[in-house]
Amino acid sequence: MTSQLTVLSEDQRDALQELMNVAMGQSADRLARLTGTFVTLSVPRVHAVTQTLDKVLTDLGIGDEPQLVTRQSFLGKLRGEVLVCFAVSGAGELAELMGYENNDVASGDELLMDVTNILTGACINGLAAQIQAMVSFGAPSLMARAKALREVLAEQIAQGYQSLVLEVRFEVASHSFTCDLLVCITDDSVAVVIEAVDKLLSEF
Amino acid sequence: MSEVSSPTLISILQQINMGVVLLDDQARVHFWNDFMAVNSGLRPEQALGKALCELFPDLPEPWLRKKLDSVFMLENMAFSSWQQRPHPFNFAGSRPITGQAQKMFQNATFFPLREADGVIRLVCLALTDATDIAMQQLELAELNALLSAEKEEQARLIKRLEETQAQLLQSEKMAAIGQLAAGVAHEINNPVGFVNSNLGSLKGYVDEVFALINSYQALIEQHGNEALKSELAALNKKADLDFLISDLAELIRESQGGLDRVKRIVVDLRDFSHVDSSEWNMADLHQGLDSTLNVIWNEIKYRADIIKEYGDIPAVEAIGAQLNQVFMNLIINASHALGEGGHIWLRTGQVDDEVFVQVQDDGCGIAAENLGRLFEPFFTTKPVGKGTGLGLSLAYSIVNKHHGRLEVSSVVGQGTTFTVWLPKTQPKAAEVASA
Repeated sequence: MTSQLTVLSEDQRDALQELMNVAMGQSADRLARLTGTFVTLSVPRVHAVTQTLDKVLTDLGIGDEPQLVTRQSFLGKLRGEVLVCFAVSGAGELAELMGYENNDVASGDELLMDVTNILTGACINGLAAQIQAMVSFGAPSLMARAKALREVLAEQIAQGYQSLVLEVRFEVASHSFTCDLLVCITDDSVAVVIEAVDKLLSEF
Repeated sequence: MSEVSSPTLISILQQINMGVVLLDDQARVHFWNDFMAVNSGLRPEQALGKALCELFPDLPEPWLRKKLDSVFMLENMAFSSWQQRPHPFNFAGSRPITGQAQKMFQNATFFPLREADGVIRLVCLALTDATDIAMQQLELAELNALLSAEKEEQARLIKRLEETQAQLLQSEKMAAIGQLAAGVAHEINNPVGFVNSNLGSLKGYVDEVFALINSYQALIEQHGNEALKSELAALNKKADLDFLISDLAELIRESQGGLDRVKRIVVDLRDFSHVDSSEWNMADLHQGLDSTLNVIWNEIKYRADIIKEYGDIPAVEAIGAQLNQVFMNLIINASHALGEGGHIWLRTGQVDDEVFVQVQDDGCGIAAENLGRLFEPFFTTKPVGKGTGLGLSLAYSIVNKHHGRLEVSSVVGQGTTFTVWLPKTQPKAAEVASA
């Protein structure tokens, strides 16, 4: 089936981008206060999946590099999972900058879980709040270490889904740290996203 | 809501089979349910109002701080998983009898408690026991590691089996060739024997015939018949008797020399293959080297000058035919490395209880990246069809079987030196094994 997200009008896409901007802007502010370091979160670039996901991954150059991939579920009227892709080596430095102790693998992973949780919460809560939908979250978990995203998707995705790709850049102190969010929404709840977007559009 | 009273709801929270704790922004406890009381041994009246870190000194304070701050500030849930942080609270394992786990594995969820006025004053910590699932997963992971280790070991064994089989095949082939050579040598030996014996007789007869001719000529000389004398001189001249006499002797001597060589080659062939001796005995390495050289002489004589620098070495306990195989492989390899007018040095000597045989050439040498793989079966740098890649690996395994070492050093462009080190006598086990 054609993804409903691929046939968004330009206005709808802009609205979605705006929605994400607001959500990420708020979480950046909170993240900065939380970590006590100067964290800036870039305006996320929402990549309209106008062609296949495969093509988007290729264009972004994130399909084939080995990455560290985490996932977290969001449940309710809006259902799906968010996949977050980190650079394989990325976490250690960030952990230190954000004040996590014991720079070992487990605590590095814990940090990535927290970051996954914060980012997922920010963008899904942003969407859900717009339409006053209740949403609940599952615990984040590690999906793959040092594996290409394309491979992970091929191996572990069983259900039909439609996706949004968000590119989010952290800047902590003088370091920049990029990760990519793949927001996968179940086929049957995509309408909820469209609803949220249309609602935002009607408010203008 | 109206159907269930608040005291009932409180009872549910109090008795539910998971930890429920309410914390304020200073991590002070505002609610403490039975699960927490049972597992920690702290009664609600002991816990309420106290900071969580005070109650549990093991609890990492920065971690708790971060979780609480994130819930308060982001107004979002926070999680902790047994995989990253197995035991946030130091509770005893939930399978005291059957489980291996000493401590309880826990998953924790922190969520903001939004009150009627929309303000978040408390965070709820919900703690679940993940011991069963954690133990199953850890067991599986262990099993997985075991399986993959076994798989690797199997792959290694299969590879070794293949190598051994290839070597076995090669050594069987060499043994068959050796048997054939020995058979041929034996067959040649008989005719060569009677030709040699006949040639000896022939030489005697020819000598006698020449003596007879000399006597005739002397007689004719004495009787002084001039006509007869001149006729004889003419006949002698026509037959070129002087040349016949000298050349016939020469021919016979050369034929005997040739036969000697055939005999020596036959003996060497037999020595070299030694079909009868796959047994351990005291082998003379110089003799082995010489007979090997003889057998392969045709292959190397146009390529290399052989320079023998034999030292004084005792006989060593060995399977002579197999060592000859080693020498042959090394010398032929050396000759293949040579260009025009190359040299091969054969050195022997003794250091402590070990005897060495060294084959050195001044050929093209071996590239460093190939040096390490030299003794691998099927490794060859020769063109397809030229080398099997088994010669050196076979040599290596033979030397190994003799409890010796095969060493190599090489400089590209300058040449290569192979050194076979052998113990003078084999350890006892080898004798038992071969018996």
